[in-house]
Amino acid sequence: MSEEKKYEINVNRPEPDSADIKKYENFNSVISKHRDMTKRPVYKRKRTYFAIFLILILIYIIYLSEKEKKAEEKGLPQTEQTPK
Amino acid sequence: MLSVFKKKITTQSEKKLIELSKRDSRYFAPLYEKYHEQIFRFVYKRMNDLDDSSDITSQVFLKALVHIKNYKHTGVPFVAWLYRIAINEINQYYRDKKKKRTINISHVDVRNIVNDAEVKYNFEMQDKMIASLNELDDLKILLLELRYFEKRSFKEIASILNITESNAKIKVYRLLEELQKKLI
Repeated sequence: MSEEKKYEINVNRPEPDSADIKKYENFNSVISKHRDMTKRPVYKRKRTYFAIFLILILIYIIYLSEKEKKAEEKGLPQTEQTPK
Repeated sequence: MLSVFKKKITTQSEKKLIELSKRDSRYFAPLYEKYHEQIFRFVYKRMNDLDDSSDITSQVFLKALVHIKNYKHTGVPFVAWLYRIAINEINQYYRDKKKKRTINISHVDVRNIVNDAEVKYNFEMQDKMIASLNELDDLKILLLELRYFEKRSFKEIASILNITESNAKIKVYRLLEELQKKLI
């Protein structure tokens, strides 16, 4: 038999009772760790893309209205008039 | 908020809870409550410290939550899946800490193994058993723990180790033969 001990062997160690184990029960900590682990980065969220889309639309609307204003100032017709 | 969920789902089956947990992790709470003590005891049997056991148990449930989307019910009890995660976490702990693995035995366990190995029991047997355990590899120790220290059926051992029931029986009997040679 080899002399080297691979394991630490305890004989007749007392077991903790249910109340002791209950003290270590903490589902909230597990769930918060899970949330941190599985949190999607901002650039992967649908909301981010939606917000960018809205901003682009807003910029386009502002651009169009500015364009209209400039056209009005120059006295040019903004759109083609339908002949009467 | 969580208590509302708990009240709503305690009557639902475990399978249903697992499916619900895949979509919303809060549904995992009753499963956590049901198996926490069982997993904690399983881990503590292989550890020396209550705090370390608690950390590993939390890690087991965290891993279970992260991977629950991959869990498929194949007839094997859900707790066997949790035990498999626990075994991996315990092995990881000992690899990282470079500590000696802990084994907890009782006089009764030693007597049961000696009886099954068909060796005559005497007062020197405990020391011989400790010396023999130190020569076994991790898988053999795990088999002994599951079969003799935790009194699990071959069916349970098979589901925990992801092997067939007959394979589990063969492995345990071969192990007893090996121990018989060492103890005589």
